[in-house]
Amino acid sequence: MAEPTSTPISTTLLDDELVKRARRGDVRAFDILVRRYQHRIVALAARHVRDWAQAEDIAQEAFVRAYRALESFRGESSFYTWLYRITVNVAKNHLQAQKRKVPLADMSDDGLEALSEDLALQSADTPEQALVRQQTGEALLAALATLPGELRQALLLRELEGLDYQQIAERLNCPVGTVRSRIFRARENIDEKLRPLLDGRATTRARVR
Amino acid sequence: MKSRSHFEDLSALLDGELDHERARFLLRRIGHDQALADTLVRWQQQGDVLRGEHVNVSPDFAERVAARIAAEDATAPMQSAERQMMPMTSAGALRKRPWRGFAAGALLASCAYVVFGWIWPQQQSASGVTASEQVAQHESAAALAAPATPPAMQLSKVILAEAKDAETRDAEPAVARVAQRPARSRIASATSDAQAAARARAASPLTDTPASAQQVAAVQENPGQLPRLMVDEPTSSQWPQPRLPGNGNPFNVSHRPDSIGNDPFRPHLSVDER
Repeated sequence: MAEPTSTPISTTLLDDELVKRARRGDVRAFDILVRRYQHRIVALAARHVRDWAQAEDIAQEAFVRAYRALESFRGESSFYTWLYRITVNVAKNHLQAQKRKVPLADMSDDGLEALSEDLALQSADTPEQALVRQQTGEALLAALATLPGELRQALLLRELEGLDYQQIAERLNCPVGTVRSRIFRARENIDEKLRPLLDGRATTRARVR
Repeated sequence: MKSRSHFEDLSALLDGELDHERARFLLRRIGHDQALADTLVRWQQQGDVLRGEHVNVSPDFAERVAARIAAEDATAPMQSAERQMMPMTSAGALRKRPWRGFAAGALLASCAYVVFGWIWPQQQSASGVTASEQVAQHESAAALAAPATPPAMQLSKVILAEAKDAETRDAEPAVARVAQRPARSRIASATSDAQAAARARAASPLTDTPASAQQVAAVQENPGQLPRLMVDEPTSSQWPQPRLPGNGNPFNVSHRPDSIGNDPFRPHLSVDER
């Protein structure tokens, strides 16, 4: 695979491009945005209401409002930050409607991008969700264990350390193109092992409901 | 068969490591390639699981969001039509399209309809405002739709049609409640002056739509029924003349075709207030 020859598109620009397309009426583009952020947004909503169904309702409302307000999105912040604020507002309104106390810690806009650090998601899990979470994590670890070391290293440096391809290439002492290829192959391998589990999860959920 | 290189590009796209040109190509492809779109999402989830950020969202969550958006679009055909009319060339063009302004005008008109048609008359009734003044207020709401475009008029007519249905289907309890609202009753009993003014508007060429033609016919057949229909119709008549209590009120302005520059939208004091 040839090396990128021009400026790479950042993840923010990826979102911006999807937003542009959604504004033009490209429903698929907005669907991708929903799928990209649904887990984080539901998790965010779950910090305000300790009920998973309500959290999903809040998240759904936030996405719908975001879609309706896409034209007002100026790109001054990232799409996710903007969506985060919409979600917090929807959650606040929801809580006020229910006359419940709003968690003060969640009302600050500080650290919007560092959402993962203080998520207390497990407390909102149902037993079934906790089981699925555990199974997914275990499957991922098992898939990682079967990967060749160089693929695993490259993927973990990207996903956990947040290094870009150039930094990973320097760390692993290999060309950027090799890093790119290794990360892709690692994802492909893991995907093969996780997909059946995810499909099974859908079936399980449908049965439980 | 999709090229494997597309998926490798997808991986780089997810990491923000794909050059702009190829990213745009891939995004276009994702737009009509479900497998690529699904893969992008699954890889995103892989990272979320690795970072401990993954939560279990209902498998059909995204579908439910899409279904709700589609349902709301279906109930707001004007907005949907507006979106479909947008060119596919520039995102900025969306903001520049005049339809946006017209759509806003239509929404404003519908809001004004509610305020002037239902809420204000009820309040004014309590404070002793006459029926003709209520009709004048109602006219101002209707005339806000004067510069409306076809999509805006569509919305206004939907509102109008619903109101008319409510009047004609008296047998239906819910609709009957609407028809029995006090504001309607007061408007129906408007003075003959207001009826004449409404009749004049119906005859105006600017309002020569099928709906207004029906109203003219209805007027000729049964003049006594006129106000109930006419005050509901957002017409393209002259600018509204909202009147505040008291003839000497400086905020009472009128707008006439003989205004400065023959611009009916230029405000000036009415004769009795000069």
